[in-house]
Amino acid sequence: MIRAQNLTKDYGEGRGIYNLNFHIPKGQVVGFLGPNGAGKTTTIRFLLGLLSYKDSKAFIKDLDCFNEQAHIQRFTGYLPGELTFIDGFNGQEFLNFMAGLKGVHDLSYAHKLINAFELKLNMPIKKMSKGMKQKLGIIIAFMDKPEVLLLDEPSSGLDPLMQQRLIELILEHKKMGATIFLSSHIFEEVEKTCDRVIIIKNGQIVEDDIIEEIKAQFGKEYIIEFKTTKDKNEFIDRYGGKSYSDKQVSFLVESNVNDLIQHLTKYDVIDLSRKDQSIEEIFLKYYGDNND
Amino acid sequence: MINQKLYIKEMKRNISLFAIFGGLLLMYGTIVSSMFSPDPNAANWMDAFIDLYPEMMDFIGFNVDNLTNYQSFVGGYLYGMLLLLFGLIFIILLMNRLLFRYLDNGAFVYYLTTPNSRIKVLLSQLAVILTYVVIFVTTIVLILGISGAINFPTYVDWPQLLYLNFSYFMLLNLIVAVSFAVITIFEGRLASGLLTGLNVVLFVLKLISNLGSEYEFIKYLTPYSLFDVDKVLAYDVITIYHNVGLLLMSILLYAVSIYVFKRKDLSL
Repeated sequence: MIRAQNLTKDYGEGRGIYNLNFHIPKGQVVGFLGPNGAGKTTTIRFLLGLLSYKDSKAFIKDLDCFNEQAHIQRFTGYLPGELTFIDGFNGQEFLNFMAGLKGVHDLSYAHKLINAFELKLNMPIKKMSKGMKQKLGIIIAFMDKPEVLLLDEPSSGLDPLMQQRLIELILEHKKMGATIFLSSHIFEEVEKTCDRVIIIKNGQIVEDDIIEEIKAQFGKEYIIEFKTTKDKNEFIDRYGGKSYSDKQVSFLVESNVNDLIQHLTKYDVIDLSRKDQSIEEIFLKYYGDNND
Repeated sequence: MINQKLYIKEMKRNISLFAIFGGLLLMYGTIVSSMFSPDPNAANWMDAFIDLYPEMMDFIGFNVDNLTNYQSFVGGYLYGMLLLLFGLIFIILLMNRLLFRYLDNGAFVYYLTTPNSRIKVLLSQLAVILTYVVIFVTTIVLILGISGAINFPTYVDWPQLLYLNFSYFMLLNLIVAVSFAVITIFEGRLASGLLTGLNVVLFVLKLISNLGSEYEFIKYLTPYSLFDVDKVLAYDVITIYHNVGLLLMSILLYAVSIYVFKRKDLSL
């Protein structure tokens, strides 16, 4: 459904994206993660047809994103990362105007979304808060139930309750069969909605896999509680791991747990539990040694 | 070619801007029209004034061949500088409101999330600008024509007035094309600076070239020289070449702008 071939845009001084390749099949929800300046928005701009290319190519439903941008927009919804609306409208007028340009005649679903996001439309957009503008952007992107959704940091500016509503909305569209490409810094949103994660750093893809595979690849983390602090410190000195609390150690196992169990037989262990790594912890590993 | 809904919406959104300029045109048009006098004796005061400050009158383009000819009078008084300045400011403001601001703050992207190509959106905005320029010129024709017809019915020569304003429109069309090229080819501060800066420089060059003799060569540096009020009113054949030249330059600038904009990266 969405295909990127050698996407490259060099802005100089190491900024830009380099040889990005990915293919997103129909119905898949993909989280696009990366630190600020990693190239997420540039990638989305390619998919929107805003950036020209020479050796690169981007396609949505086999249509060239740059040359057939207008056609692609017939079945695509887009939420920009930075919302700047056209001046002089109130919320309702802008919604109607966009519906007119998009050729949406039935606004019943848009009204359902307005209620779900508790948005008051009868005020000038200029006077709306960031959260209200974000809700308006979300409603415009989703109102015609598009087959493809490109969402650039969709939770930005939303309170936790509205973030939850957004997650429900994405899941609803996922059920309808939409293909969704979303860039995000909200890991809960990615974990709950996405089938797959692409992590980009310094303009290059450093991970591209389904979430469970990535988690497995990053190993299993165990929390071990020792009877004494002395045991805990001695364990760390001999086998590694990180201090988790006064008597607890966090220990990462990359393959099987036999070795760990053997080590633990030498100590008085109170408890041993498996801690699931969240996508956030995995992402922070990439983020941690980032230069930007 | 253009999106009708977008065109209508943008026409409505810019009515207030036109209303301000329409008011200015009405005020200056009726005042200047009422100052005309077909009596050669009554026109003497103006001759005396021109004799007193000849260079200043040249600089502002007030160079009237025949003060007792209505078209020549309003042509010299209004089309030498005042209407050129009003037209220029009106076009810069329209360009800013309809194109530059959207491209600069990123709001243009909203138009591109609809099934409209960037060129279709661009041409819709350009159509709004050109429509307003046509309305602007039509308004001044009607004000000068009707005001003159009421006060001096036998002195209004409609074909002459229309040809004067047709030539004026051809000049404004070129100013639109220059501004359009600047905004579509360049970006950010450079585009904004050139939109005002380049237009002001071309206009000032025109004023300097009015001083004649040693500054006359400057007229070759500005397209404003292709709108010569005296020659237009005299139906001089060269004005046909001037108008064709203005039209060809405009078409060339529009074509280059569209070619570049179609291929350029949009940082929206």
